Amino acid sequence: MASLFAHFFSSKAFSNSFLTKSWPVSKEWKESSLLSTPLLGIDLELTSLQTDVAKITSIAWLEAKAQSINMDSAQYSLVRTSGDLAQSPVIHGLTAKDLAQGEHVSVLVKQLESYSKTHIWVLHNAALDMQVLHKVATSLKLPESYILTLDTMLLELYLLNKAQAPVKQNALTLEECRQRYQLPSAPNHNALDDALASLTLAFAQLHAIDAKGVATIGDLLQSKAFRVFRVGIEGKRNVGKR
Amino acid sequence: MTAVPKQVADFLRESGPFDLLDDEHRLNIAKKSQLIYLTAENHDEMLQQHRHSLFLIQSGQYSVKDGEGALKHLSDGDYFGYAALLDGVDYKLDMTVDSPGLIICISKASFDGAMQYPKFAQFFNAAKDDMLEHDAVTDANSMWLHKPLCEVSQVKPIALAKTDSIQSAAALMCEKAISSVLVIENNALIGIVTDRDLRNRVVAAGLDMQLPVEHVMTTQPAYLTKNKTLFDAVLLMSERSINHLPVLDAVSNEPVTMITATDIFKQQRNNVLFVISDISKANNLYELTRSSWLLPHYFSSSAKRLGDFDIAGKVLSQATDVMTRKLINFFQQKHGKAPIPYCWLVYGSQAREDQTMGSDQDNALLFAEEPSDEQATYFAKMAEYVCSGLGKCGIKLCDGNIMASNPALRVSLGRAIEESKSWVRQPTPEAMLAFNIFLDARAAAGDFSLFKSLQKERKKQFSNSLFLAALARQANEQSVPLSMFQKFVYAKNRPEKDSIDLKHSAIAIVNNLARLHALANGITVPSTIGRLNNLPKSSGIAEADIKNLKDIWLFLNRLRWRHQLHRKVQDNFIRISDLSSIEKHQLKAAFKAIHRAQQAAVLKYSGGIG
Repeated sequence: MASLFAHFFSSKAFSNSFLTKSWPVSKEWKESSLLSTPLLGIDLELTSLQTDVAKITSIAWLEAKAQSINMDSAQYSLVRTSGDLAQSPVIHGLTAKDLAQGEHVSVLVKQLESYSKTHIWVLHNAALDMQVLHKVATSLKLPESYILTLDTMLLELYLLNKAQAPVKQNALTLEECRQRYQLPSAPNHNALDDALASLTLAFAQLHAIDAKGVATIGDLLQSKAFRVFRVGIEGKRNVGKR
Repeated sequence: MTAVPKQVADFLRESGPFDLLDDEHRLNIAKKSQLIYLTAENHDEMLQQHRHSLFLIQSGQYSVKDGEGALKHLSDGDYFGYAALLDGVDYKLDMTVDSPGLIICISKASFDGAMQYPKFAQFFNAAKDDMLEHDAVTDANSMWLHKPLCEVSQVKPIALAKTDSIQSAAALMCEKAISSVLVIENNALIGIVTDRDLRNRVVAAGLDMQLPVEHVMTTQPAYLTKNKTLFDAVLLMSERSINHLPVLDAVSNEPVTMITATDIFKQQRNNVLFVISDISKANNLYELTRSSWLLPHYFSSSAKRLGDFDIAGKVLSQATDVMTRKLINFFQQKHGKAPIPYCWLVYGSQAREDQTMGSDQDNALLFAEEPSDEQATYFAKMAEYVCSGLGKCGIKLCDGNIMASNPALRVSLGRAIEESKSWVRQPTPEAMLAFNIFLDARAAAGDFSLFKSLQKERKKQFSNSLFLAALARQANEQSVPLSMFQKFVYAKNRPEKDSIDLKHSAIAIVNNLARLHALANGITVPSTIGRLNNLPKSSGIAEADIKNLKDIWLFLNRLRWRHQLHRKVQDNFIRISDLSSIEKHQLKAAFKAIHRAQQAAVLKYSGGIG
């Protein structure tokens, strides 16, 4: 999703990332060391950038901790879907036939739920994907979960502003951001590759901010890149550690 | 569903020697790997945590001391950690992170599994010994016999069904002017009918010609798959006494072409020995040029393999020798025998026998005594005739005018000895450049004893230590095109962005080093390999280093040879993008070894005064 978004950087979707409602970060999260908190790189491929009509065509994620990614944790699933694919097949190379053979979205959302309390979810432009997930979870009548996300796009914006660098058009695309850290090019509109690309970008960004790896999440809240999103039906609380 | 991100799978596929593994095996390795972000702050902990791994750098720059090896500056595509895995010793990895980046950690189990592949094992064993991987060098190097069958014949085979009549088979063979047809069923080969079958099984037996061909065909005929070589075909055909051999696709088993005895005969006609014999049979300049021009054609059609260079350089040099002798002969038929004894000398690549198709002629004349004016005129004419004749035969005239047609290069033995004394007396850098080429010399025609006398005199002079020191410094002036972080430094002012001048920034350095060692040890053979082969044990250079230098020289020349043939050019600017992943590693290893050999030579011959 992240790279798809790039083309609409200055559009509605971008302003979305700020306007979307988010919840306060809990005290436990704030005190957690960033380096020792597990991360989940995640990306959704959508049929549209309009959250109200967007359908998920695929979901991918990988687990990471302390700047290491375990390749064995990489998951990639097509989501069983019907209806209009809009421009998705052009960009992601998925066809209706592929998608008819996919996994049901409820299975995947439930699998993801097990990461909601333990992992910081890393996304490039978190708001869009989180809104769509929320919509899906609500329609599945799933209880609410509060997910802490690290948005690599917002973190990059923060870093650029901090360096007083001009933020040019397209400066925040995943590919552009990665180039700033000499990360290898990953020109691939595939959920798994985007998830990995965001995750490794986060490694490089966090190293740029906190090379020694001593910061807590609370220390970095000023970047506005850490935000909590609600996924699922309000009030139907899923009681957990945090 | 578990999956491997494409950027990881692709990177591994592009990284030799992982490119040698099959896709499934490689994906499995990728799946079991860890991707880490290595920084100046976390590397101690990370390397400890992932010890017993093979590390493959995807981005960033690092200075690494792996086990007992020297400090290496590494970047994307480079490996470290293999010394510990190979030796089973927990070596300490000393590292400085020059810029942070991503590293793929491959588990010991994965590494051990892949080491079952001999070529994979060879790569890391060679890397550990800092040697060039010998695979390319030990490859067989015959020429035409090793051509793959699909290159020998591309003619689609003629086939019919088993139910077709014998007569229709004969008619088809007649129409297509061929001596055999294949019988196929569902695209698969089931039989073959040849001229001989029609004679023996039909005509001689008085068989009804309207019967289906299956009555007379040879069932389950011998065949080869198209990836086999002509050599395999020759063996099989002589073993079975057959003249027709169907060639099948290795996967689909569909017949793709047919090799006949005639094809093999044609290939033999193109054999380089025939070309040379044609050259030596030429009766006049016209015939000589005509057969000489077959040489490049021969090489481009029959010597495409990397290893073919080894004999190609020699063949070209010998062919040039033969042309020279023929031309001298033609000249003397017209103008009479030479008035005084002379020797035709060749220099540079022709002398070293590593000529390529882009090499120009370097030659000179040596006389037994000072020629009179009349004699001098005779030789001037002869030199002019031979040099321009060689030009017509496709051996370029020398830009630097190092040719016998240049009066300065027609001297008596006495003057030649005086000349070399002056080189030794004043080895200034400019003078060195000017006479360097004359240090690789060979006699090609005339009275060889003159050249031997010259060599004998020079041998004493050239082992002078001040002279050797100057040569060593000169050999050290040119540096290999590798940056501190082992990245290729590309040639400037070239239309292509990723080329390297293999001649001047690598091959010439090895030639210079071999020459230096040879002169120091009184070895008079001119070829680089010959010089290295002849270095005595007392030379103080380790046998392994000599072997490595030979391999490097062959490897570099082979790359250049392939570049010239494939791109149909005569320059020395190989493109890095033309190389396979393993070749890139090998080339870097070769450059590093050349650099070490340069440093060692300066220490040895000029007492460390670089």
